[in-house]
Amino acid sequence: MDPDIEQSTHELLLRLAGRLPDQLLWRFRDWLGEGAMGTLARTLPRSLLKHRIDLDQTEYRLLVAGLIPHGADWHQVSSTLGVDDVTENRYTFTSSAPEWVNSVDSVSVLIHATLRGRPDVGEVRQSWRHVGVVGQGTAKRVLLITALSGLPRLTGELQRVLRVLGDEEPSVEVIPPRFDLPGYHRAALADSELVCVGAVEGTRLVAA
Amino acid sequence: MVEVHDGPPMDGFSVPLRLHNLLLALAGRIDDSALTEARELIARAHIDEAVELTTGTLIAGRIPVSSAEQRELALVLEMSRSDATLANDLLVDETEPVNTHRFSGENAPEFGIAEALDRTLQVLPDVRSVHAVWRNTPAGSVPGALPQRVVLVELGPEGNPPAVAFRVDTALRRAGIHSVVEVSGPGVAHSEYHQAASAAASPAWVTGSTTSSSSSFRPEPVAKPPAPVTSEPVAESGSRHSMRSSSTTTAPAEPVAPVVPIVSPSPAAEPPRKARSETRAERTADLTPAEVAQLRQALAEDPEKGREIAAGKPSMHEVVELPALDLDDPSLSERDRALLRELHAELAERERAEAAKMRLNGASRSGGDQRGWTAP
Repeated sequence: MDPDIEQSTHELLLRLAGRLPDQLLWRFRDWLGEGAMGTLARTLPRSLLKHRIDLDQTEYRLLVAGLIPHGADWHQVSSTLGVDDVTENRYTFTSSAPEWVNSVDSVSVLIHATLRGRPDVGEVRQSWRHVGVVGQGTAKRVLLITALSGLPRLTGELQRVLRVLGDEEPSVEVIPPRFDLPGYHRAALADSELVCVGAVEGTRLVAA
Repeated sequence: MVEVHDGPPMDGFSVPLRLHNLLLALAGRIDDSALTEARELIARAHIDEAVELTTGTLIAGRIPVSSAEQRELALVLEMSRSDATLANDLLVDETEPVNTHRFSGENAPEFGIAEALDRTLQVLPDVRSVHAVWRNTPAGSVPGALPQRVVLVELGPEGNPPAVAFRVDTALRRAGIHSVVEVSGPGVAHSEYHQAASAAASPAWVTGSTTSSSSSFRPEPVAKPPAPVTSEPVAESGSRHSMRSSSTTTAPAEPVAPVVPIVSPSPAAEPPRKARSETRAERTADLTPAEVAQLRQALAEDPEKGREIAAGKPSMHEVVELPALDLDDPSLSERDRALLRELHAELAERERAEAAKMRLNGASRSGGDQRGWTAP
């Protein structure tokens, strides 16, 4: 697969966090990780339209670059470009785990065991996402990871691990270097805790 | 069997059932999340999204399908105005897949289900039985947590499988019971996956209105109900998913979990059933002495009939043919013989009463109305 095409689609799916429903987003990211570009090209633009998710110009360019070469319908792709500003992040985040997580957080331990010192991986953090008031409703774990290469595959791999551990719709944000973070990710990072650091130094997500 | 493309033109009504039946055949081969989401999308009339999710999951996971399944997916994609060329990316392999899943009825898989579905089962029409089992093996390329509870729902002809799958799943989730719900209607043969699951399953809820004396999860032995055209994909010849044709099936491969009316008076009060052998032992202890004697005789002559009696199947509608009273059987003690003489007389009396009752009610036996919900 063309790395630029793959990278474009990965960045687009990264920017759709918190906008596209979780159950669709993780699935599209899985398909990208498996290289199913033709499938994404035929399904992602329609999903955006059906869920009334408008893209800004940057995102639109990523969609065009990533999926038009794989047969996405031009009319559908064209219709995704919105005019109004993209809706800002509607979630709140906390760095501390909700009460239902056991005092031993086995997911966090497993991520630590898997990614600590791993090549091409930088900082690994996690945050807890809430809808509305913190403490009401359920909190969802969001993993925030910096990586230099193989981002879609790393995303897919971690998603599979989290699913086996019980998170049906995992939120794994693998962020490339020099990425202009959307509001969703900035808010998540602002209230996150460090899980571990891979082999790559100097890719801090949060200023020390 | 009928080639799906040669069938009559499909209207919007039959497409959902076609996809539902395809999902039944894919159970255990794609992940449970995809199955559940696709069924919800079908129930919500988003057929295009359901078939795209299904096809995309198969493509991305490189999960092989038969050419018949590929054609069926292409057809549903086309009929739901999706891009039918998506089906060209499917990995086609005609090799018959081997069911490698392991199921277990240990640790009460049915626990809490009857209570969680109380309202749902009152409202939804023609639900015949609900069984549950644990699956201990992963499904698909992106499996979820294990063990996975599999809930098997059997419907009569008036039930709508996609709608029931969605509603039952919703009610169970609301009650905090995580599961994947497999709903089968009449006229659809069961895959090896479903046969293996039902063989180990425990009953959670069973109605008293079963239409035949065969178990709910046993493929129909001879008589095939007027099957809707939509059921054809899973019965197609050469299909990889090992669907048994109801017309060719002569006997079940293995006895299935007995159907027991555990509904009344309080399903919640039922202790969790354990292994099947224990279940049978417990159930035997619950029988009246008359039934024990009858069961003993029946088992000696016909193990299958004995299981049916143990399951309480013939209860309302069937008159059990009592085996001849063999008081010379050396395996019987003196006490047994005395008891048997007394009970045989009692059972004969009961048989006469049942026969009289059946003559009165025979016409109203459930299942007489074979209206399919897909009938025009």
